[in-house]
Amino acid sequence: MQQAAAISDPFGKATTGKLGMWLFILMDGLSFGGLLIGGAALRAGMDSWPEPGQILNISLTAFNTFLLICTSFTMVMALNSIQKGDQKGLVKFLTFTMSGGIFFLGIQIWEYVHFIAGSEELMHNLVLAGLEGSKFLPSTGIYGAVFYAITGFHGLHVLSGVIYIAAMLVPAKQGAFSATNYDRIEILGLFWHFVDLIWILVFTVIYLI
Amino acid sequence: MENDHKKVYINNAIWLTVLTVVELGILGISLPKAGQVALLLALAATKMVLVGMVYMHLRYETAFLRRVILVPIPLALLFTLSLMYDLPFQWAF
Repeated sequence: MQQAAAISDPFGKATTGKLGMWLFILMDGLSFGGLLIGGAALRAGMDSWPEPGQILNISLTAFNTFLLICTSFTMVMALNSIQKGDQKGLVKFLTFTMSGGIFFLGIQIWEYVHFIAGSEELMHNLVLAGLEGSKFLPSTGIYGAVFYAITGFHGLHVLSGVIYIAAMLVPAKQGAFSATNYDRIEILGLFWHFVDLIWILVFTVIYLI
Repeated sequence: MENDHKKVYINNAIWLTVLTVVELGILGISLPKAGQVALLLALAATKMVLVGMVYMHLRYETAFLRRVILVPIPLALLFTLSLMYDLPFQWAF
């Protein structure tokens, strides 16, 4: 009697698209790892480094962190909705997530503009931190370079995520997804949650430590 | 994954917010810098695990996939330690 051999897939029910996104996330995570480790190494080689909150606005960024946590929740609720076949819920939560991402970027741009425009108060804080100039620019010492490289790289990821959500909103509005066809939404969610996950580390390393 | 996990997602968002508030609270406490850094990094790691396991659904994936994803983390720590060890030598030229 012939018996079919049972094959256990080590990746379970994960689709190739989902595995592809995980692979991308791993590689992108290593890129962030390189930047953060490089930043830490540069900092360790410096005699002085600004104290948390001396130049950067922790309250504003903490609000941005809370905002990104909220968008992770709305993103997972978008997936939860379509898994139940709720098309309107999917569109609603995707729109909330995209709006949150745009708001996050708006705050980050406002922060950059404030630093680049400069002010008396900023100059005073820069002097106290052992840095020169009335503006906080990417060229303001190693601290400025590390800050703009890491937050800028993350900001580009948020922008990519917003564009990605907008691209998925079109088929979502046309009813392309259902309770049995939601793989692309799950893949989109993985990317967005990764952006949130990385921000948790960026917020701690750049703003709090 | 087809079940309704709304309560789990809400609880996770609350925990993430609470841990962020605790992080901000740690800044206000006078602790040795090394202890403060260790606490903040531990809290960040906890938050990252919460996002990964709950929102990215890693806890519903196979153990093999979880291992594949987690392997680079000790590697990154190894690279960090190697780089830190190398630091005293880099300005000697």
